[in-house]
Amino acid sequence: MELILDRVCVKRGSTCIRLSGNFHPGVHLVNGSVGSGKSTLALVAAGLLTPSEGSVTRTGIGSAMLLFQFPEWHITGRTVEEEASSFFVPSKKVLVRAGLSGRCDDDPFTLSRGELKRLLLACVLERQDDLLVLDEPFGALDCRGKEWARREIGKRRREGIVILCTHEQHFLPPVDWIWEFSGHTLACRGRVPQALASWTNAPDVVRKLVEKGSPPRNVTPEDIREAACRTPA
Amino acid sequence: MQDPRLRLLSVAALSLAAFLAVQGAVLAFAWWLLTRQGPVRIVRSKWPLVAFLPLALVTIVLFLTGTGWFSYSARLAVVFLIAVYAYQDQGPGEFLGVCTWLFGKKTGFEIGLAGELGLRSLRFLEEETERARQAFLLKGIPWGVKSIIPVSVNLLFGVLHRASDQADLLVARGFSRGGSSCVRFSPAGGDILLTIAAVAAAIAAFVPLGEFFILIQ
Repeated sequence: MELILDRVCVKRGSTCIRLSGNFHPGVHLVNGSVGSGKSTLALVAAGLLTPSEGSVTRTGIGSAMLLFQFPEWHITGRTVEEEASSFFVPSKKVLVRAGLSGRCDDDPFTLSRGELKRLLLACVLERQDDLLVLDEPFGALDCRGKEWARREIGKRRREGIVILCTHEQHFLPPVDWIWEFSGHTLACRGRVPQALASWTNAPDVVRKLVEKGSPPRNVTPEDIREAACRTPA
Repeated sequence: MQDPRLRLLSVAALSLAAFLAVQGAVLAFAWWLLTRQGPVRIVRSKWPLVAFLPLALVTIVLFLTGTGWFSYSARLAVVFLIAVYAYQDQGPGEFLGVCTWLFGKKTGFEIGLAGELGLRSLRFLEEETERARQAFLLKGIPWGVKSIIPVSVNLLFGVLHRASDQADLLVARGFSRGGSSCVRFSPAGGDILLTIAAVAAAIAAFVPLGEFFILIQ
């Protein structure tokens, strides 16, 4: 199973967002500043945006799903339960997973943005798509919500390709590859933990641990805590 | 066209020309082709073409009843085409700028603000419809007639929420009545030529074809 972006270029006004690389099964963390091209990458990977140049090849990918940055863009149902069912997943199970079991008959627009994000994350994670693209999945979530989200995403680690586009620096699930936007060009930093040394947008604590010679095994808070504990003062 | 004042004048002249006579509609259509931006923009975003649906229905009725359908439909189609061009060529804030320049800081600003909010809502609807289509596509639900009701309800609520937020924002910023719009208009050379052509088309529409040929003789 593989997603191949070959010299893809997407024009945004006078800017060209350049995307190249091979995405294998595992979690791919994509970082980059605001407007660098993360959401464009998400749309291209999910097949919703046709690039002006280059090619996108999906090998062995039968189904793809994208979680939009803004959760309200997903809404097609009139009730919370109908919305969950629209993803073709067991709605009751998903609502329990999202902590919204008492809100079945509510209008999805009456949910807070955080609740809506939890609902949609639970829906897309319940599906077994070969390719799952998450565009800012931690946006609008409080600390508890982020902790819940990173654990749920972590469970998907060995099931297909997960592309995680985010600014989040603390609540991260275990990831396999790190990618970054350098300007508007996507660059692969490599596999974790080797990639941590060349990760430009790495959280300060990760950078300091790498500088001190005891890099964390991964980017989760547990891995960082463990690395900090074994680092000599 | 860069200058929204010249665009407004051209659009008004061409709409009048197209509505008055078939020869005016032909000239207005030629002008639309001449702008290049008209055909290019309509190829990029085809959704404003839904405006032609009611016209198509009226044309069918006229055709079935045996009334002179061709002249009416051709003239109105060009009027719609010019209106679509005006909508697609317009940038944010231009309508407000033109209205304030034309009718002053009180009435002009009020008309401009109302129009500007309406135009932004149309663009909002355009974007939201595309996102709804993407949501249906991702979920594997067919995008068709059945999706019209849920999508329309969501869009309606979306636009109402947005209008309410915008109204609150205007009050919070201290808006009560009127205002000024500090827009600088910079007409390009091509704008002036296109405006002259549009006004000439409007004048030509008033002159009956027969008299025109007599004048030439």
